[in-house]
Amino acid sequence: MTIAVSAVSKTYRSARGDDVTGLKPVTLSIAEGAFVSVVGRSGCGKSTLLRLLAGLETPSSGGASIGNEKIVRPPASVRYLFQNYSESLLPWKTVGGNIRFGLRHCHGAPPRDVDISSLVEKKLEEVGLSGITERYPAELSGGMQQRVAIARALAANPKVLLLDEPFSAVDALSRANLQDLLLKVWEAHRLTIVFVTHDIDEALYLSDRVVILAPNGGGIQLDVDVDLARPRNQIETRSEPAFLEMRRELLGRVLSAH
Amino acid sequence: MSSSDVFSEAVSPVKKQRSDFLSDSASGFARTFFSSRAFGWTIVLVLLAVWQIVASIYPMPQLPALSDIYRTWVEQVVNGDLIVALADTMRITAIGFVVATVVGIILGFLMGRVTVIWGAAEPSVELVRQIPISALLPLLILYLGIADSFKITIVVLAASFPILLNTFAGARSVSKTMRQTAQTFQLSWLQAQLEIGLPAALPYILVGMRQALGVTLVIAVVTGMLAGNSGIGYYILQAQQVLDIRALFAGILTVAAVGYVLNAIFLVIEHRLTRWRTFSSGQH
Ligand SMILES: Nc1ncnc2c1ncn2[C@@H]1O[C@H](COP(=O)(O)OP(=O)(O)O)[C@@H](O)[C@H]1O
Ligand SMILES: [Mg+2]
Repeated sequence: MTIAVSAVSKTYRSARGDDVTGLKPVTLSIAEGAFVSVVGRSGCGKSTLLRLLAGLETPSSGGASIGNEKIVRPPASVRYLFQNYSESLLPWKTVGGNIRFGLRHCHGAPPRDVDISSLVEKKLEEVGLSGITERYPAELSGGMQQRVAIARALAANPKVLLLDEPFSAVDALSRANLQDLLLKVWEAHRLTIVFVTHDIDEALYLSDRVVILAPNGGGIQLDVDVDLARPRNQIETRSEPAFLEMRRELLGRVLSAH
Repeated sequence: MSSSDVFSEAVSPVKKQRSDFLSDSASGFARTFFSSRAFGWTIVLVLLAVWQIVASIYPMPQLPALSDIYRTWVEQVVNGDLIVALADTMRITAIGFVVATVVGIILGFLMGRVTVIWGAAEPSVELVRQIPISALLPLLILYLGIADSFKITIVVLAASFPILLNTFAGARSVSKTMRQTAQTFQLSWLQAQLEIGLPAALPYILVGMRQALGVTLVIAVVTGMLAGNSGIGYYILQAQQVLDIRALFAGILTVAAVGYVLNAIFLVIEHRLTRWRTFSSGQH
């Protein structure tokens, strides 16, 4: 399912009543199965673009579609991982309960004739968690909560995963693990991923393609393909000359933009 | 009514701070004792002991000794007078509480989640809420007489508002992230209310119910006095009229004890149902 974005823009109305540019018109086509990162400074409209794709925001002009379906409400095949993931997990449900929530509200037919509790275990193992089905989200660290949020999204059997700065709040070591975990599930589930981050290294390490947004909702500044070999490796990939070259190039472009 | 109503706040996620007026050198026992309710219960026992001693040394009709009150209490329980009166008040309390709970939760929740219902009901709710129950009494007696329907109506009127207002606040407490989570997982409106709205509102609903529980018992006692035909309120009133001070105290202390027990039971239930909140406030 290709994601097609055609001249989508968003203007917000501020509390004082004047117009705020969220995003100037953006046109973009994301191939099925691609891993695309959206990078840019704070306030450049990354979240706005992602929320438009998620059907959580109505465009002020233009439109986006996924497959043949115009996005007017959250599409059934898409799951969105919120920047404040801890607010997105159901705090009154255990980890197992949260995964079952994902299974219950899944894309396509819900799983049948299977042992739900072993399925829950399996989903958690996939994100590197085990033996915590009876714990409550508030008892977990941020990194673990994020894993549960990913497992819950995967339990819903999506085709597209949208992630808004998912790892910005976790420590560097957990972040590296989470990045590799995300690459693993992307391949295993043949997902299409749109990944928002303000970290160019992270974007390069993960993606097939990096889209840089110009400051203050200025639209697309740069759209580059990343031709680094897969599978990627935290140490090898990050020290490849091609990686360092692209990193230098993109950083320069982002820093000079104003 | 009972003090735990006021002090055991269930809503605030802020961890309760214990008083730290004791120095570090104080022994562990003293520290635990003075910062626990055992301290308060000891004060209660001391006051009761003082009462007993004063009343034994200076016998006076206004202040019977506790031992005498206890004897009267046992008599009244055994001959059934107190039990019958209490059962009647408890019946009014229970019916009123259940009706108020159903009305308060349904109306409060819908007002919080459906804009049209909020717009339609908010003015009426705000207006009725301002009327003191006492101002309605003459009218209600005129319409309903002094039968059970009168008492239950008063109890429901008084108890609905705490439940309604807390449920409303709970229904409004659902965060935008949570609402959008429901949307992205394709929940229907009804599913979102049942799986997200109600559980999110539950801690607030329980606080409202606990406040209402205190109110219902007080009002049920008062309606017994007003109607002057049955219940523990009427029992206390009668005891006063025949100057049976011991029975008067027996009635009062019974109401206090019942109120305390009801609240304690409710706290246990509330804690069970919102166990997950204890984790979020960091009290492992
Ligand atoms: N709900 C909103 N109401 C008004 N302005 C908003 C709203 N959401 C975002 N904006 C504004 O739109 C711009 C882009 O925001 P956002 O997409 O959140 O940026 P980013 O995620 O890249 O930091 C910012 O100037 C922000 O203040
Ligand atoms: Mg953002």
